[in-house]
Amino acid sequence: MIRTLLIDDEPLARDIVKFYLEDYADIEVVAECSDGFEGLKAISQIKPDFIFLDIQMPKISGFEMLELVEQPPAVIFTTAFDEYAIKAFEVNAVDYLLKPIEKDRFDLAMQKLPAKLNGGAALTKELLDTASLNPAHNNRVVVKKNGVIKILNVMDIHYFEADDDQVKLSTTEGVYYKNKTMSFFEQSLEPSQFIRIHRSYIINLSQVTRIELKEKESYIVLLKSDIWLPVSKTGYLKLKAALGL
Amino acid sequence: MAAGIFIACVAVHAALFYYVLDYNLLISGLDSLVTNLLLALSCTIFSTLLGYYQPKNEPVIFVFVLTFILALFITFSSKFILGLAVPDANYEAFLQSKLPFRLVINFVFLAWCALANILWYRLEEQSEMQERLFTAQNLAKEAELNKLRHQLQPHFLFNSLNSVYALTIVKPKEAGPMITKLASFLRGTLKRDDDIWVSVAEEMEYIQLYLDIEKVRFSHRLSVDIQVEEDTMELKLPGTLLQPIVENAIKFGLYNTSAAITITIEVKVEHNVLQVTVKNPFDPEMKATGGTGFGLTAIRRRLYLLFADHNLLKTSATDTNLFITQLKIPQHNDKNTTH
Repeated sequence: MIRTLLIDDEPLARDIVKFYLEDYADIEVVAECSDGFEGLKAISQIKPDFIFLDIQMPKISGFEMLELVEQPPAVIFTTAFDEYAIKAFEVNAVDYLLKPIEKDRFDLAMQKLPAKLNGGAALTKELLDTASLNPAHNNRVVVKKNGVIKILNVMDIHYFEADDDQVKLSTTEGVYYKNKTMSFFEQSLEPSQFIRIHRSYIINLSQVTRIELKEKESYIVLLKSDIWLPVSKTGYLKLKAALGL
Repeated sequence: MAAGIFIACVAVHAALFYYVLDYNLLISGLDSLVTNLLLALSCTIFSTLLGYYQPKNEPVIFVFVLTFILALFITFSSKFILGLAVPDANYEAFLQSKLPFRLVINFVFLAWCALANILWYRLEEQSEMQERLFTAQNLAKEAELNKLRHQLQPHFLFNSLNSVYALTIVKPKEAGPMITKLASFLRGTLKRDDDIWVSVAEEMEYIQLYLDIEKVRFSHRLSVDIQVEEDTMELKLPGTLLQPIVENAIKFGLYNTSAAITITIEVKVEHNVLQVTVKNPFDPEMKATGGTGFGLTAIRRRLYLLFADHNLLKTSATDTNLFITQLKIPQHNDKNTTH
């Protein structure tokens, strides 16, 4: 038996997928979720073989939910209209179904499913990276800490620091980790507000209180949270330009 | 370019004096240099002046007078300077006798320079204007497109179609009414324009359609409480304001939570001002991450464009996490039907 999970905030949208799945005796719908929080919980508890995932949902989007799953299952995306999501799917050749979902199209996706399941999570980090460039969402970052999901406003983040293959986000309430790259944040954050001052640091400009010359051609910057960070040569030029100096 | 023309003028002038008039190299060179330097200076003055100021009336007379004064100045000052620099009686007599001729030459040269300048500035102004016009047209087109895209609300439309499709299979009897509601709503959307005022009765019917469709999409989660006072039914409001406010309430009240919610709409009239109050619950955590909060900026701007009043849209949030949007539409008794 192949176990699947439906994550969509509209009951009728889930109904139609359930109806289509009646033709597939070997697939069992083990749970239905109406938002990303429920979805996240169900995925970690039930560990389904694959999921149907809507993009635009309450609180966190389907993509933001996936970013928080440690071992994501195979995914068939369902969406009504989302230019950014569709672009991300096309770039990364991911299977997705447009609503209203056609039966033939649904069957085609199901035919490709075995390959997906065997190949493990065909879901790529690149997909999430492209998808998260949606400007509607780049003013926030969804993080998980001690099992609690938190939606951070980017303006509350003091600075971003490279930490192995993760990025550490420092806020007044503590630090959070996100499975993204520094260059992802550099690209998606508002460039007039967030400056990559160093290979390992991106700072929130509103946190800067002082810039000092440390030694010849090497600067350091002081943040409101009383932390000194190193500034590289090119970082200093960017910082100067951003501050209008 | 300018330097090239200057050198060429100096060379031609000097060559003319040297070969045709048989003056020595020193005199030819000096005469040429002094005259042309003064001319170049005048041209620069002219060009700068015209760059800052061009008379709108009678530009020809202005240029003519200015050219004449400058030509006079050049002619006499060059004679004075050259007379001092070259103590040669023969040459001095030549300077004196050819004064009117030099005046004419200088005048013609300066007039040509002035005309070229005016022409150049005019052309530049024209191309700048054309560029501005082009940009303005592009902006207008883009705004129009955005407006259309917004009117269509693709996300709402496709999700509604998906719900209708699901209904045809799971609850076929409900599919028909949903389709007609969707059609009526779309028809209403296409009709709407900033300039068209509709009655409260008509507007509430349209809002009801919209909410009915959302109720089908989200079934048990959405409840609606609408209270319209009887005496407001015939009052008017622009047909483009209320739906976006209700849409906003749905967006923050319904799309951003997974709980069952109630949206309240109250319509009443006070001191000849129509008052519409929309209440929706919100998730305080979501509000903090929503940037500017509730996306009513566009509506506020439209209201200002329509009434030139910043205080027609008021929003507040209660401790019980209820967001209240209040819209006021002044009524005009004298011309109730049109605006």
